[in-house]
Amino acid sequence: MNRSAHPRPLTKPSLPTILCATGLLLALLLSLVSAAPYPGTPRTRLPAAGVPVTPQDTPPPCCGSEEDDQKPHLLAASYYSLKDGLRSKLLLNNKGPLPLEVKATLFSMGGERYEVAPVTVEGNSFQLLDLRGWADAAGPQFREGSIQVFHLGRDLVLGTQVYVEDEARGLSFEEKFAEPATLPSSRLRGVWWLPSQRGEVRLAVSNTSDAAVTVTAHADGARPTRRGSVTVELLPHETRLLDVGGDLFGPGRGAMSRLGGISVEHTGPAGAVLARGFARDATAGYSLSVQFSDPQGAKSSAYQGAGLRLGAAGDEALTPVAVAHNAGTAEAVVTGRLPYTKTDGLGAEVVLPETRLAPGETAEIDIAGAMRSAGVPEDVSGAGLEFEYTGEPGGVQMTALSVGEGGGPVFRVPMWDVAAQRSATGGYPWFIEGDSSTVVYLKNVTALPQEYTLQISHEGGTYVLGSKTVEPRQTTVLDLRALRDEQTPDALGATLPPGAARGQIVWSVRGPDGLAMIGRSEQFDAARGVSSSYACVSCCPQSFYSASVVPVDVNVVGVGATTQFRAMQTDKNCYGQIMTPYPTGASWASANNSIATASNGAITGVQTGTTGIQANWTGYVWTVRYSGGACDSFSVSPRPAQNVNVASVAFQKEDGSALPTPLRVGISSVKLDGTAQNRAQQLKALVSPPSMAEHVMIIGNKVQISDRTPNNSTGFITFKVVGVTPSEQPADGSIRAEVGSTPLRTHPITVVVPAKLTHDLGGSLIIQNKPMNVTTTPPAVAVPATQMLLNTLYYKSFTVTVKDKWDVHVGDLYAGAEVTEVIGNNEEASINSPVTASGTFIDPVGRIAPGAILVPATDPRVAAWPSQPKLQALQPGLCSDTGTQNIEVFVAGFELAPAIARSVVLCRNQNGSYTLEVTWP
Amino acid sequence: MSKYALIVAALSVIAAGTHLPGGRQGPTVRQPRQSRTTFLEGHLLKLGEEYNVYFTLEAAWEDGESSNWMENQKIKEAPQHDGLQRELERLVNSVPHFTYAFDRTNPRVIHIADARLARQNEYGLDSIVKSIDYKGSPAGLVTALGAQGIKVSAEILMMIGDPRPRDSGTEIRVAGQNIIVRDAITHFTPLEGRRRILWVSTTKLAPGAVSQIDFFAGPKKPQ
Repeated sequence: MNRSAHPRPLTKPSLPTILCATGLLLALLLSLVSAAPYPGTPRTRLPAAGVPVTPQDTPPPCCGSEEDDQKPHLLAASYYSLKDGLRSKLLLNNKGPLPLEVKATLFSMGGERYEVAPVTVEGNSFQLLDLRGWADAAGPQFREGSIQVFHLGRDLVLGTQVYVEDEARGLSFEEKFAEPATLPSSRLRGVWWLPSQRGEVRLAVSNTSDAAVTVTAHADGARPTRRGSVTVELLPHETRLLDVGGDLFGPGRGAMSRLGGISVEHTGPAGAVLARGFARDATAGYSLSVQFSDPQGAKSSAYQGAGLRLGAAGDEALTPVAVAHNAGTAEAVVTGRLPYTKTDGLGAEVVLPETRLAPGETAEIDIAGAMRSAGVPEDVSGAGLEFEYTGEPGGVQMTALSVGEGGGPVFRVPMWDVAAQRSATGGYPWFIEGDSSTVVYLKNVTALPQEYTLQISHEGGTYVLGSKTVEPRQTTVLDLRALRDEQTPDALGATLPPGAARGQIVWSVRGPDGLAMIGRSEQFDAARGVSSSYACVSCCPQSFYSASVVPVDVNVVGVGATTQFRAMQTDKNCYGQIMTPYPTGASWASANNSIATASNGAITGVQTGTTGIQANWTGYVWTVRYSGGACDSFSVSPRPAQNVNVASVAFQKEDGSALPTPLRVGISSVKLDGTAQNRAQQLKALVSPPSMAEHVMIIGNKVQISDRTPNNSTGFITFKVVGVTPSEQPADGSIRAEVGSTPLRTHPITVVVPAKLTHDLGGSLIIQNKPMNVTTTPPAVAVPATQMLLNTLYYKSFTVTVKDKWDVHVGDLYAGAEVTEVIGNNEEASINSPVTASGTFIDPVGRIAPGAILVPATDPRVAAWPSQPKLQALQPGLCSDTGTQNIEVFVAGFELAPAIARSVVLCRNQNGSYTLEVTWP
Repeated sequence: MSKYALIVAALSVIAAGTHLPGGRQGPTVRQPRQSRTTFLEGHLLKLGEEYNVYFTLEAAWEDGESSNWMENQKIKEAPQHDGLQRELERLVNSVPHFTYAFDRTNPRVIHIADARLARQNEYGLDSIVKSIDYKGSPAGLVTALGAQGIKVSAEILMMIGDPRPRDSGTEIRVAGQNIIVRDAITHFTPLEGRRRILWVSTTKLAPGAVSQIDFFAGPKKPQ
């Protein structure tokens, strides 16, 4: 569906044109296959438009109508004021990539001119200027008047808006600049609404031309019904501020009408006069800009609005208001709907009551009543508005807003004649200051789902929302403060920096219907209760520029594993700016499904090898075929491709045998004497294809990987693995082969540490002469290596088995590990009996006979001692009980639990023989 | 001056327990662990270091008890650093049969004893040596006393792996008359450099039981 407003007959193309187009198409196809930027030519065309279109509410003369960086544009606003506590600010929003030099001119109410020094607005940026400085420099007569700005550039590249604010009363009026040259007639119409009859409506009429004009303003009011007109003469650039109640209705004729329509006609050429209304109730903090539009610019008998606030703003309950005024000569019937999105994401709509309007009649449409009747849930916070009316396009004027119970805040919803829009695009400044923030509303004005792209520039880069879909007739809302503060990731996983405070928002429809959406931004200051609306379209939707297929991580996937690829589209806007690439939906295909399959960007490896994968989707290129024309689009079919490697990895032991599952590994340790005991195991990973070996990394969980050495010829990666963190559950660690963060193979690991012990019965009693010092087994830890204590031992030799916490033998993982003991409150000492390759150690348990002899270690008695007569431990018939010995045991520094508590009783029989009883639970 | 003459000669000290297993230097050295449980023996060692005092321990046991129950009595509270007297009073309240007495001639020595030993007839350490003139090792002194009929013995059956350094090399000289055995085995060796528990005697609470006395050397010094 295409909504270009000015169809024109297709002309028969000439032969040179056909040849040129054919050549360009070939070039296009070649360029798309290689994913290079698109040079641009139509393949299918949409109805063209003739002259610039004017939206009903806010005409789009913020832009121009020709793609020409040197094209002059003169934009004008009807009124600004710095009097009576008012403040006026000028927004200059450059949507293009090039700097713009902007020349502003202030006009006093009487038409005196003051040229302001040029202002340069850098590309893709905005400036918000206080007019006080300029007015002060110009003189006291310039504290109130009108303003014009001039610049060179492409159509619609500069968005300009003036804000008149009364901070003390919480009033705000905004006026978007119009390009007078683009207005089609000498008539303007607007609609007002007041919360009570205490309010007032001021009407500013400003002569933008260099000749005098006669202006007649007519107002039709309702509640109460009042009518009146006034005719004024305006000198060149003169501005007149009229009071609708006093100047049009006439003084002393009763209360002010709460709603009504205003028509302005003048004797000058089209666009010579601009008008702006200011409806306000200062005591209630109510302010509403009355937007004027040229009825001849209307292209349809319908209006749509995006972002009608419902519910409450802060503590203020909001009431929705819609007002229609029949400016035609016949009765008009207005029908409408309020589409909204429920909290479950589904769309719904409320049918609004039909309203019949006699010529000149103004009526309020009961939105709140219709919502109550329809049972709209209270948690619905926003909606769209759609109206149709009978009669000629432009015959009915409308305004809509949500207003707080007390009169403020006011959220105006511009009502758009969609067919008169230039394009479904937008470029808005955004900023977060104090309690103020920017909210963006985008509405699908069609009955079909629509795609759009949006990106947000900020001081540190670009936030890419990417391609999104908005359901038929629904409105999507983007709150910049929430987006930033909640750190919502964009399509590429990035977030707005927490300190981001200003930048630009750019969006565009993404599809064949160049008018499928409308949008606007709203700046709301919650503390001051002031809001303003801003909308500025670009000359055309963004065009497809280039395409690519990129892996989210790397272009490698394991057999049986899946990795994600993205189809990326890069667009170019109508000002020549290359936008940030964003992911797009696409159809996917693999060149060889026996190697890898592709579906929705998920690439699944089937067997090792390399294959190409391709994404395919439809893009759109937009052009303006002739000066002043509307946007045409044609579709393109990018097919970017990318190779993907399917790799497999097999883990092996050093000897090439398969790894047990799980692989058990130990943790390195340090002996008491400082000697390191490294328990790293040498392993291998066999990568296929071998050339991928250098790209495959080995990642450990609970283990440390070292000495990784890939060999791209053999495909082997040798590496060492050693435990770092003891496992809490079997197989809770792992080694993982991956490329980037794409896992190719994972093997479970249990990091084993000594935790328990079991022991045998200790065998028979051994009586042995034994020279002992700190180095011997068993040791005499208090005897240095230079000395030797000549002892006679009475003991049994226990074989102790070391187990892990799951009662599994530690095997050879801790072969050579130092066994240490802490006895009582004495210092830890080695028993000089390391763990064997079978995971056991020898623990002699018994007594040392009194009478030991301390000699130098080199004394010849040491060597002779084993064969010398043994020292007797006891007199015949006696026993000796050690009592309970508390011994904490450590293997490789890991404590075994529970600690040993054992006792030893040595007895000597009357016949001189000995018995040894060890009580060791 | 006491009624008996003292001749103390520490001719040489060759303590078999002054060595630390070597090589604990550099960044890879790990600190030897200490037991998480504090026993009375370890607690006394801490008090000795904190208050610069020395202890002797006279343990007693009877049938049904471990001979080393007092040494292995678990102490729940760490030293409170509020004065030695209060620390010892807490032990009186927490360790069964625990008594203490400051040495009459050297208040840096505190004698810990199982209160039940007061009822032990012919208790070796309370015996009086009428006359002695001895030169040799501490264990030899005890053997010499035993030879006089005093119920003491230095024939200690050590546990394999017991890391406590025994004093097998200090040469002492003891000469005098009418010396109490406890004083004789305590006063004739220099205190400095010795373990905070000088000796432990173990006595079975039975008529005629011999007290076995185990002498300790000084703590190990880093090389």
